[in-house]
Amino acid sequence: MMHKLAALVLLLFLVSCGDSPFLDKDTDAKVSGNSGLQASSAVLLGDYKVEVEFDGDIVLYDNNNVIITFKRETQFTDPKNNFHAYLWMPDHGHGSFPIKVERLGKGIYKMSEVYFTMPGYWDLHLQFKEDDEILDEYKWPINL
Amino acid sequence: MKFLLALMLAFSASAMTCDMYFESEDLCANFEWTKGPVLNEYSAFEVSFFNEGDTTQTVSPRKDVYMFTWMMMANGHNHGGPAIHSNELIPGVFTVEDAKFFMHGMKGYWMVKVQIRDGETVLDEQAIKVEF
Repeated sequence: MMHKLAALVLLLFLVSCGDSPFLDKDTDAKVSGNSGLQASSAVLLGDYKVEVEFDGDIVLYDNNNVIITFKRETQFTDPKNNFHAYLWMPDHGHGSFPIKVERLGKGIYKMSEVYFTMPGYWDLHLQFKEDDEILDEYKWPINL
Repeated sequence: MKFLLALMLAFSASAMTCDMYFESEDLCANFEWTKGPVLNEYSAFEVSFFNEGDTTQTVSPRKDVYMFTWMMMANGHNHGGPAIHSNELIPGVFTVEDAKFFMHGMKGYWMVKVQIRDGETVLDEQAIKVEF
């Protein structure tokens, strides 16, 4: 009896008052990273759906690895333009060590050497570039 | 007079071979770049501890050796750099293979700081200015 009651309460909780946060698996561009927490985001960059996810907790000063995937519709796809990423701290007017990007597989890349050298507000710039021209850019806000 | 001259020469020779002196250990240390220093790539260096005036034998400090990079910004802000990792190759010789320096909009200069620590307590600190 108690099990049935608990299941009913849980069902009511999940279906009432809009979407349940427990059922919402989607992340969007508003998601920010916090030190010690995992962070991920899904954005549109040019024609590609780009998903970025820190591999573990975001850490200050030490290396962070970030997995980034590029999709067109539902297929993993290598971007046709050069992908470039860098960190920038707009309040202080400086960046960080160059981010290394390596291809793991079709449409799947790993960013490493991602160093947040101080707490504060950072932007992770994700760009498609040709030569020095920026074709598309997304700034992912990360507040540490 | 000759004794005084010899003493002065000995002192100056000893001072010339001692990049850093750590009073808490009564040890000197020499600092040597083995790669770089360069911006935006890994640099490497070696720190060797020895008794003052005797560079023939390195000596491991009794307490912990801790090293990190430090940015002295022209606007007065100072902060650390990306983490580096040191390894004591043989007693008294510490190597760092992953020092990471960059400017990327910053004005100022980098330093490498070497500390002698007892747990979290800093007993001694010396620094080398990085010249690119």
